Amino acid sequence: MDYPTALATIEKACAEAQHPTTRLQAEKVLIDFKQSANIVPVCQYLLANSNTPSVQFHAASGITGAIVREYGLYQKQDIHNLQRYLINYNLEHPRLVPWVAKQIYQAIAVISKRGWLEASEAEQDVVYNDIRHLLSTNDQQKKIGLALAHAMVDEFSSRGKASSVGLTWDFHYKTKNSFEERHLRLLFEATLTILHEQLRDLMSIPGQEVSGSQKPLLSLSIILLESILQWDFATTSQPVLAGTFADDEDDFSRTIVYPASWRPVLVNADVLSMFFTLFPLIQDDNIMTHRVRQCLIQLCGLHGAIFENEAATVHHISGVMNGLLALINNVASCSSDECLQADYTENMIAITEMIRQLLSFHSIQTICAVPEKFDFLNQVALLTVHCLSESSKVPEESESLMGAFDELLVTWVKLVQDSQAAISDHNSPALVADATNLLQFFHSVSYRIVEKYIDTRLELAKFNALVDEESDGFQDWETYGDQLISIAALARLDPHNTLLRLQGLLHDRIERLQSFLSTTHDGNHPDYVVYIYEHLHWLIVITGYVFADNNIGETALIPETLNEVSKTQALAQDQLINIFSNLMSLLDSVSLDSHSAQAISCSPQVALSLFWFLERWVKTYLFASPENYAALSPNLVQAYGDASQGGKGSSILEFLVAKLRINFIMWNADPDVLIQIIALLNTFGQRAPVRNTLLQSEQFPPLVGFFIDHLSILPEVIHNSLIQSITAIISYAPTEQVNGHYFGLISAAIETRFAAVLHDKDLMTKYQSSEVMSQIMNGLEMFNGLALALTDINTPMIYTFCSRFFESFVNLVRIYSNFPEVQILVLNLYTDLIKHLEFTSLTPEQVSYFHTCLLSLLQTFSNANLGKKRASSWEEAEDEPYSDVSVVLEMLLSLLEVLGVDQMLAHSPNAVLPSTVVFSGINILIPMIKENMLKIPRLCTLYVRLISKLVESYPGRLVELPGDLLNNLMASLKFGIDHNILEVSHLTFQAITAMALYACNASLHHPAEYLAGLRPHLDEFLKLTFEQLLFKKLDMELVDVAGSCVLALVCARQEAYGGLIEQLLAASETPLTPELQQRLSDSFQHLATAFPTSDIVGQRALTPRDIAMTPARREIFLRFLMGVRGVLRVK
Amino acid sequence: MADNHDDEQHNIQFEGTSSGASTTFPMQCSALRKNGHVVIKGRPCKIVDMSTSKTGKHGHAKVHLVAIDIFTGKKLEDLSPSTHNMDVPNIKRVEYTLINIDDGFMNLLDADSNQKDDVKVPEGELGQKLEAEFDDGKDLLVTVIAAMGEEAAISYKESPKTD
Repeated sequence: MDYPTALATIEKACAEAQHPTTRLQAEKVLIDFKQSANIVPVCQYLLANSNTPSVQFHAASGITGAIVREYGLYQKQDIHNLQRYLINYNLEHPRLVPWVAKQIYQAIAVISKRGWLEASEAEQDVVYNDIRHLLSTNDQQKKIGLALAHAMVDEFSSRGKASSVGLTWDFHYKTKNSFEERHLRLLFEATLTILHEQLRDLMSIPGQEVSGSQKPLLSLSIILLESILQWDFATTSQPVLAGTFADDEDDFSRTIVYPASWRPVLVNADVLSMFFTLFPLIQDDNIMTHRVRQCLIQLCGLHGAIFENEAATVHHISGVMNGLLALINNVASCSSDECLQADYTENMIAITEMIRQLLSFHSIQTICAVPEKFDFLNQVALLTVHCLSESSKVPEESESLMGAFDELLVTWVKLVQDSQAAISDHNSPALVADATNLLQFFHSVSYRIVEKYIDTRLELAKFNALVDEESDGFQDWETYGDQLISIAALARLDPHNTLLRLQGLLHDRIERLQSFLSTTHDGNHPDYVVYIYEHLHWLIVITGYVFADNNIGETALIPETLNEVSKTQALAQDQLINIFSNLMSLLDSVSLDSHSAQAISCSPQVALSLFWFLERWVKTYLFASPENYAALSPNLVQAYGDASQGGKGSSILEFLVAKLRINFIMWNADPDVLIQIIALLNTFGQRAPVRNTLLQSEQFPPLVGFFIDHLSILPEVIHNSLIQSITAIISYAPTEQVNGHYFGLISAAIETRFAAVLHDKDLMTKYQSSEVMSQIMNGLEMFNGLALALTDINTPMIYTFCSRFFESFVNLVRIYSNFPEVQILVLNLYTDLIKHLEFTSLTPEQVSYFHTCLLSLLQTFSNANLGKKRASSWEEAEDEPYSDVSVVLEMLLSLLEVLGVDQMLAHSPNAVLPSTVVFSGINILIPMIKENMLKIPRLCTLYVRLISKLVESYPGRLVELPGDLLNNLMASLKFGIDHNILEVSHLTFQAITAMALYACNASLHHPAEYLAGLRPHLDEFLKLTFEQLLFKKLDMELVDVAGSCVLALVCARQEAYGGLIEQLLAASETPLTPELQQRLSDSFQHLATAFPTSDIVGQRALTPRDIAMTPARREIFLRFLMGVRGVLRVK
Repeated sequence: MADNHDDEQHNIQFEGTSSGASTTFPMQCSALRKNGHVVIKGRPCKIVDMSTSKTGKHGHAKVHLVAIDIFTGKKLEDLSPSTHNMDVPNIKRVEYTLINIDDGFMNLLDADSNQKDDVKVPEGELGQKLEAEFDDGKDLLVTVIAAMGEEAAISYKESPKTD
């Protein structure tokens, strides 16, 4: 095709590509053109002779593609001429549309990068020198210089912006490092010079319009500087696994650590002040403002080796503080309703981030050395309070401004903790004095922030209380947990004032609510009552956080400063006690007869919050034992302590139990409140003094009866957990007698209800009636509650009771063969028994009987379901599809996870072993698993978990399996190797490792044919595993398991290993030059040094330790991966 | 999900002729069970998802039900205060031996050898598989579900071999 014809063809195709009817055909013409050989001269002709932007664009991208594809065919000189041609083209065509110009810059950058590693330093410098030259001439040329520099930075960076050029990871990595070393900083400096000129210009004529289109040089230089500041420096960044390319989206900003060589440009007062001066001047342009903010955030966070010494650090901090002071004044003096909303909030967020960056990387000692620190911190305190005020003004901005507040809050708490640590760590007297000074200052700041926070939360009620928005299922104390923990930490610096404030507000709101409740008679309530509820809710939540920490698993202690405050106050004036009394009077007022009009106007949220508060409070305060404290406040002992110490804890508990019962009825239709009340019951059970007092209380037996009687009307979700809580409380009764008494009570209650239905002679005629089914299902759930409460202490007792019904449960599956809902409950019950029974406290006969029942359960389930066809579309509509399959999966998995049963049954020749049950279950399960089920992540993970565990636990049984079943199992493992759920791959590698290890050892004392069935599978795994390691995406977290897997497989299949590698490498995308082949062969040889040595392999049985990833092996393995993936992974 | 208009037209409701036992009974909304049944818009449904929500942060709980019509497979939803009562259909599931397929209807035999000829072959893939397996000469057991005067086959399996 001659050039003019080509031009006409491309012009036509570009025009046709605009129309839907001709687009496909036209695009094909363009693609074919760009892929044809030797098109560079054609493209140059197109560039020279067409004014159509899309033609120019395709010509430029054609050149890029051709150079990447045919690089070897060109002489270096041709390449340089082409580059020069493209640069000149841009110079000669100043009015190119931006996307064409950008494509041309990209072509230049790609060409430069493609030849980089083979170029001499002088050749590498060509484009750089061009840029320097352009930047030193007129404005038009400067623009081109900046744009070209930006294209170079993007193309050489590792941040996912580089073009895909079909070259190895190693290539990308080396060019990036070389560019970083040679040109990056110089480009940064050159750009700073342009920025400086622009800034001078901006300041010389005040009031001019500042926008990207008016000030292209300003805008381009800012964008480029920001890009360079985000560079992932080789010297300081986290090591990456060879062959891992950054995703395009992987572009979030992070704190960069700059190498010391950047000191002159970054630790530089002029540079810093340039950005601070610029910031207010460019506010009219969103993009520039955003970029400058990002630059400032990086400059504020400078730390580490970039500072020569402490003095330099202090000097820099001091410079940043001065710059920030002006910004803070600017933003704090302005209110969100006066300023442009979006900018205001974004500036606020950015400034808070700058402050956090500045204060979080340096020690208290360094901060103390900064002369401006108090001025600065004072302003930050004002800003913190200001941020809170603003967040309650505009609903749409409220969450974002709260986010900005969170940044500051985190910073405050860190400073407080660092100062406290500096004081307690026995530092030098001077530092201790400084830190004490600082802490004194925080003391005065903290209450200002806490007070404002409380006010703001109440203010925000006007946005939140009436909103009818979909809840995300999280409670405020979860959503704002981090924020509340920080607020509590600050509040405890000055507890007296905080408590005073909380008490005043609580008292007022409770009185107002009580007065409303005493007058309402129709169940309606005006909006102001909703605000009172919202206020009460937040006051309860804040009080909860201030009063106690959420300790899990350890004794919760009363915060030290609160205990101290209590010690200084008379009992009647004790703030902690009075606030609690206030809250209990509130609980009393909202615990009502569920049919009353007042009850209808009560807030379930407030009930929920109160019971949440009580859960925390009971853990920490009720029967608090003085032994845990140096000196526990006598007020607290007297008010909440044990009777033996003269305390009134028991009467508080009685009060709580009474209220709990009323609320259980009142909120019987609100599962959230009920779940929280059960959590409180659990807390009663977990704390010995509370539990024992409760068990001795006259209220307890009727409470148990009450729960069991009302189970059927309560929501399904709480059935199990309610019985579980009660059983748990009973199980830890102080004496066996009390224990037996209560267990008798609860088991009798269950038995009378369940056995009556079960043994009814008419059961077979009425089993489908809703009443019978409901009784059966409730009964099963009560048993399930018992199963959940199993511990080593109560296992014998609960087992004895439940085992009387084991066969009846199985029978239910038979009777209800067409009722998956009943079958699932039975399967669930057995699964929870497996999970929670303490098998070692049972006799071998009991365990064996349990297994017999499991076998019969699985068989009955299989008879009822095997081969049953259901409409699959129905199944998919379910919230948890295929729940019967998933519960069987879970059951078998739990059985595999039980430890010690095999040894226990070793001396009982007739006992049914867990493995018998598992393999029988697998036989039933595998035919039920369909491919579409494995697309559901939960099912897939469970399934692979089961298969891996099975293979790990019983590798020896694999050879005995029927061929079909074995193939099926192995197929699941092959499917798991490169699964996108990390856990699935992880488990798969572990399972293959176990299998390979077994095969290795079995070959020591079995004839070769013994393993004949496994061998092809192992060979396949060996191949798949190496494919994964050499060519595919690999997560860093898989390196260890994949490494052990390789070692085990190679030991097991040495014969297969040798030839395999050559075969794999032959299929590589990278052309294997002799040099490359050498590198690969070296890498494999190096890998071999990690293999277990020949004096072990084949000589004795290998243990997991022989193939474990020791640090030495990991290093070898990572080097191997670098060696191979660096050249085999291509982008 | 297939929309079974034909099915709905063919199913004649025999409400007046039921044996006197009521076809539904009331239950407090909050006590309904997932995988259980409920009547929504006059149709007997199986509950596939159940969640609670609130009107406003301090409002009382409402139950959001997602359910599928047990006869048409159509998805239905309902939102009611959790303290309100809803109707639960009385459901009966019976397994029959399939004797013949005649013009889209199945000839069925119950355990007491009573014949039943008024249940259609299910629509869609399930029905196609059923016909194919029946044509292959397999002995099939069909489960028929009945509620509120309607009936339909919901699943089938090969009857266990008796040696």
